[in-house]
Amino acid sequence: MKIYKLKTGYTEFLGALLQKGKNVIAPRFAGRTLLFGKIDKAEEAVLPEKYINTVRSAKEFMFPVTEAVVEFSFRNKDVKIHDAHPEEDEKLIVGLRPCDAAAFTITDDIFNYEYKDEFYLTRRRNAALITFACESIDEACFCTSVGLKPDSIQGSDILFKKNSAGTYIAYVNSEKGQKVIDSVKELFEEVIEVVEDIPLYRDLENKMRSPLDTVKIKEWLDKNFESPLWDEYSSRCLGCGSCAYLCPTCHCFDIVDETKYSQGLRRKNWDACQFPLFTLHASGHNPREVQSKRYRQRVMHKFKYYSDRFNKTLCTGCGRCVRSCPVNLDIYQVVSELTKEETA
Amino acid sequence: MNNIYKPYLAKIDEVRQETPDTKTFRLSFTDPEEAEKFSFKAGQFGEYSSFGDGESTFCIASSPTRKGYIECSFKVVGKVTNALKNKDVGDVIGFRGPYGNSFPIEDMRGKNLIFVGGGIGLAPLRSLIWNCLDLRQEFGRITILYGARSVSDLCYKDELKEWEERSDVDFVKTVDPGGETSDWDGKIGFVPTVLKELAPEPENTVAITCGPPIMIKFVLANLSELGFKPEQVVTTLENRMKCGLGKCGRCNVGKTYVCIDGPVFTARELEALPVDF
Repeated sequence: MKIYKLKTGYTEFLGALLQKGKNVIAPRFAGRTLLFGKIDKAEEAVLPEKYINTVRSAKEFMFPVTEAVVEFSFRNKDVKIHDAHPEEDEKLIVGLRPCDAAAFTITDDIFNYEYKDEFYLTRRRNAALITFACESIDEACFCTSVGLKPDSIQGSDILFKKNSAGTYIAYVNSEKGQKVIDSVKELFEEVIEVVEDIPLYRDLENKMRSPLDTVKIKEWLDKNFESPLWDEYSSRCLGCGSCAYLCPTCHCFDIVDETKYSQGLRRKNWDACQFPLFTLHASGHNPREVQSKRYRQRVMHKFKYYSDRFNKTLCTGCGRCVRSCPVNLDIYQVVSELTKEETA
Repeated sequence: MNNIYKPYLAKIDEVRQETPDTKTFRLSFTDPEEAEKFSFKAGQFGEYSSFGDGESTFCIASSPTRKGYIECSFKVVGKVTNALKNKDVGDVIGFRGPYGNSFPIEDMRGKNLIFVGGGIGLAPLRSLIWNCLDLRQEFGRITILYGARSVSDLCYKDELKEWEERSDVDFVKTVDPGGETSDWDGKIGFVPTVLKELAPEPENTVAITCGPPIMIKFVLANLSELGFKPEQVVTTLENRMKCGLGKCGRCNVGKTYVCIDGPVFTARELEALPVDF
């Protein structure tokens, strides 16, 4: 891994990338909401020290909220269909946090096994992830519980960390990342000596809510599918689905046709297991007919099913589901309390 | 690009009204190259689409031994099936598939088979039944127990007659109490009850069942009472699906995706799944 010192600030770095004609996606305000979006000027981007995380994760740049997968037209008995193509332009997603970068290494498994979802995979190939380690956290963050840290490099093509002097140090984690550095080489200076372990990140790590024991949680989940605690803990869940929509690792979707006159698109749209219609059979039978079963599915999928199948926890501890929940249902708290119930 | 969501175009060659709310389509692929390449196994399913209305999941109801076409049967219950019901011979629909695993026909060779079907649940069994009947000498006794709510809800009526008349098939038909007509010559009673009366021998036998979830539940219990071991019993789960490819998450049960790990499961495999289907 090569390590570089950024000789300028964040804005100058973005400016240089834009000047080279790069397509830069970075956190910027849309009204009052901090979201990832394409920037045309470096100044539009919000400085990494000014935010904890964006409201929505970066997942929509690989797996958009809605996207056409097939185009069709029909006139009486004459039907024509065409592939819809994902955009193939290269993107630099800059300013994401380690939890969001790590999320892609988890969702890669689902879109890349057996049947390959080229819509996701094409975008994934064409995007470089340029992560900035966290400079602050809030009470919702719990990445240390799921094996990550405020300065984890997992999934990032480049990880920027600030040293004690306030200079950005770039850790290059892939060829894709190296290419980005090479494209604006004049801004960087290679670092040969060992870089200090930066106390800021260790401090944040220590300030985070005490780590969950994911092994113990999984053991509890293995045995407690029918626990009455599911009713208890989910009784206030509204089934609004905002946890799933904001989650960087939730990947469920619907496929829906949209038409205008004799033409149309078949679209993949985000969906969520928290909605009652998600599992409703045509017959009227619904295996998850109450919210407690749907909430159980969410927790089980995150902490048991996904790891049973792919050996990974379907959660990066980004805390968005905690921040966004209208009834303050906190998955961290729920799983830690569930686990305690067994030992009590 | 290999677009896993892009359907084949398929022409409707034949439409049969099975029951007041169930239809069968016979389909052939419009592209001769695709038609030539296409193959499937009994138990597999597809995503059928009416362009503009969406996609629905049904099994392939015809036998892989009958080449050149596929058949699907569907009950009119929602948006897509309502659109499909209005399609006619010559119309073009979409088909993606074949998806999922299939009935373990290799393990059934040389064994007695008992098929237990309810309502439209006969569709996947029909694929396997014809597959086995077309290779009749490879199997032992073949028993088919089929029931529906009422006489008019019985699917594939012509074929039921054919099975009834065949000397190499034991065929038993039943309707739920109250669903009989004055000229009904079959049994009256729920499928699981009739199965118990029939009391098939578990020895060297495989039981294959498909129907409404509640029927399957009691059929599995009764087979177990009759001495069938869970590995001798095969069923299909027809969860709500969308992609059919193990991506969209809808048919997720435990670590299993019904669309790629199923839809065919032995009762032994079902025991290992959380009761979430």
